[in-house]
Amino acid sequence: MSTRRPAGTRGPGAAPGGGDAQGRPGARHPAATAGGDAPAALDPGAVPRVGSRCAWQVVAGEAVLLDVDRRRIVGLNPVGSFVFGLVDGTHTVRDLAGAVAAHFGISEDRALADVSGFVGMLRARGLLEDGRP
Amino acid sequence: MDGEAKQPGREAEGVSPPKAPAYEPPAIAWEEELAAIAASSCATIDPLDCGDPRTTA
Repeated sequence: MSTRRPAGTRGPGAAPGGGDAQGRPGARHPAATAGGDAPAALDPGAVPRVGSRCAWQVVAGEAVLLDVDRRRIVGLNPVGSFVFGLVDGTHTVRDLAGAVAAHFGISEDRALADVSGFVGMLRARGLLEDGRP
Repeated sequence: MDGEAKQPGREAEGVSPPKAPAYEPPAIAWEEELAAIAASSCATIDPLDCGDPRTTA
């Protein structure tokens, strides 16, 4: 069978680290890091949730997001996938950073800076939104 | 007693704590337009382009 499927839309097939099961690299994101096109840092007490115009799934440890508004599919790197998997509308940015610091063995300050920028960037794109009532 | 010669560095290797997963700042790793994916998929599911020598002469 030679059909191709977009990485991560359904079922197995997405390769960790980008691209798809056929080895197609996909478009590497030009501003891939959290600080690339990140807006001003978020309040650490902000409570993000997944945007209403975003569908997502974790495939082989990689979060794959469907950006409905832009008609794009976005794959997150391992740490981004870890963060996105914790976003549920109840955890603050500080909570997410704490989890990253504990899991990856980095300082809380660094984690907070990175997670804040990452969440801010996804929020600016509509993939995350403010979960506060 | 165990009859096995000790090798340099082996003991230290055995007691080292588990490493934390590699860290890199959270980020978008890749991005692709749905239109491009759809075009690619349409091309590859074409039965005349399936690599079968009977159809791709």
